[in-house]
Amino acid sequence: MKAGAALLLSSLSAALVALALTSVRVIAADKVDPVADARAFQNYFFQKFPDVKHEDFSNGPYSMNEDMKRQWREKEEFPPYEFALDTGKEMFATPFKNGKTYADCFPNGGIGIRQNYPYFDTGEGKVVTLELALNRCREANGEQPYSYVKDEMASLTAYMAFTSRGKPMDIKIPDDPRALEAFENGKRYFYTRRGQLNFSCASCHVQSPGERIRAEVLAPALGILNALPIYRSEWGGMGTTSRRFITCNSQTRAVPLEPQADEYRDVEYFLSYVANGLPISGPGARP
Amino acid sequence: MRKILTAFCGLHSLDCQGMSFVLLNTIFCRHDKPRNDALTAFPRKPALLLALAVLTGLGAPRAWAQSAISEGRKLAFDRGKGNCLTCHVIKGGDLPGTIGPELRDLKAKYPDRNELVAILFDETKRNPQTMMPPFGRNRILTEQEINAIVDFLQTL
Ligand code: HEC
Ligand code: HEC
Repeated sequence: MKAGAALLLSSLSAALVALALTSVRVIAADKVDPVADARAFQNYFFQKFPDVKHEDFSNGPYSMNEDMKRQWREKEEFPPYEFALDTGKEMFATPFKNGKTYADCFPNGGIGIRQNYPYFDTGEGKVVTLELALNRCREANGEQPYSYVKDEMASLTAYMAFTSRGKPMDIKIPDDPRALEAFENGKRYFYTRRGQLNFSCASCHVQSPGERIRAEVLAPALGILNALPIYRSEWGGMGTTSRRFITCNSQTRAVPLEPQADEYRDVEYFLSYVANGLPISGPGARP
Repeated sequence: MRKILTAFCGLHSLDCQGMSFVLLNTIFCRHDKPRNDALTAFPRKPALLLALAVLTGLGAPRAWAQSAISEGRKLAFDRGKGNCLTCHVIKGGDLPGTIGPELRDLKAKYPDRNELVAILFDETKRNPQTMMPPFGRNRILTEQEINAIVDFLQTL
């Protein structure tokens, strides 16, 4: 175990050193470099799992081995998220009281755009996630916002993800120091150990993907948001990205943040950016 | 250097509050005790054992040891306590995880029980990257509970 981890660490360090040496900006050792980060991040997983097809990393725990993959294919025959998808489609088409629709709030009428979220809003100076944009759309049209963790939000995002299936994640970091800061902040949150059990997100999803934690197979951090929202039997329903972040925090005895807190938005920005190029696969279904 | 895996692992926080959890199914945080951040493992406290032995003769320590072992097994398997099965295969335990190595032959591997106590107290001392929670340092288990679990580990 330890030797394996050390080996991975050293090969990762080697990759980073190699990157640093070939980079002209060696002096700025602490410079935030998302391009290099994303490359190192992806290579780490590609090397750790040489047999997993790159696009398969979008399928969370189901990408991790043949047995899991078979379970996933079986699930896809009668997908448990079907109901949410139908509801989402209908909600999306139903006008607000003022006659406008969700389509009016989004580029391309909201169809096939999931891969561009979250994005950095240079006006606001913050990361805007799809869930946040949906509630802002509702509020701008005089409707009450939905709970971030419950069914309505999951239905809407399920439908929007579905219309974007197969499109490669395409997150931009605009030339704005605040965007770099948001990326760096998300990365810091992701790697910081917290809570009584002293886990970081990376402890589970970078160090131990494919391992079982009790009966559950840990998803790799690469492409970990591409399948969201997800249906989980354990939840008896759908869950959004917000719900998953909160659940992971509280299951490991760390204090969860409010849904769509700045740090969660930044983590989503970081995780989505490093998954650039991997296809959207949502909505997903989990055991 | 170790940017991707460890960029920010240095900040340890103990931001726990009383709440119930799904993974470990219990209310867990204790704020009543003073923080013990000693870097070394707990010294073993044989005083109680000794007192027992003196008071009740030679049969008692064996019975005591026996009950410490079964108490240790209980603590190790309990989801709200050690929950060691989350990560380790342990003989007699159901649904083990695969994150850590199987726990077996530990007496041969760690003849000095203090080494095991140290691993349970805070494995990040040996391996800063480890997934294993610092049971002693973060007061997930008491000194007495760690000792009972170590008694049990030595039988594996
Ligand atoms: C101690 C382990 C642990 C930690 C720490 C942890 N998670 Fe998880 N995470 C899980 C488990 C178990 C699951 C459910 C199985 C799976 O899909 O990986 C999960 C699932 C997820 C999923 C959904 C993946 C999918 O395809 O179903 C996301 C996204 C996620 N975690 C993000 C995070 C983030 C962000 C953090 C830190 C804030 C975090 N996790 C911390 C254990 C952990
Ligand atoms: C979340 C994961 C996790 C949990 C929970 C956990 N461990 Fe570990 N443990 C590990 C890992 C990983 C290692 C490998 C060594 C390392 O990472 O430094 C390890 C190593 C060990 C070792 C050394 C084994 C050897 O062969 O050298 C012992 C002993 C041990 N654990 C006992 C326990 C006990 C007892 C508990 C419960 C009270 C426990 N562990 C809970 C992850 C865990």
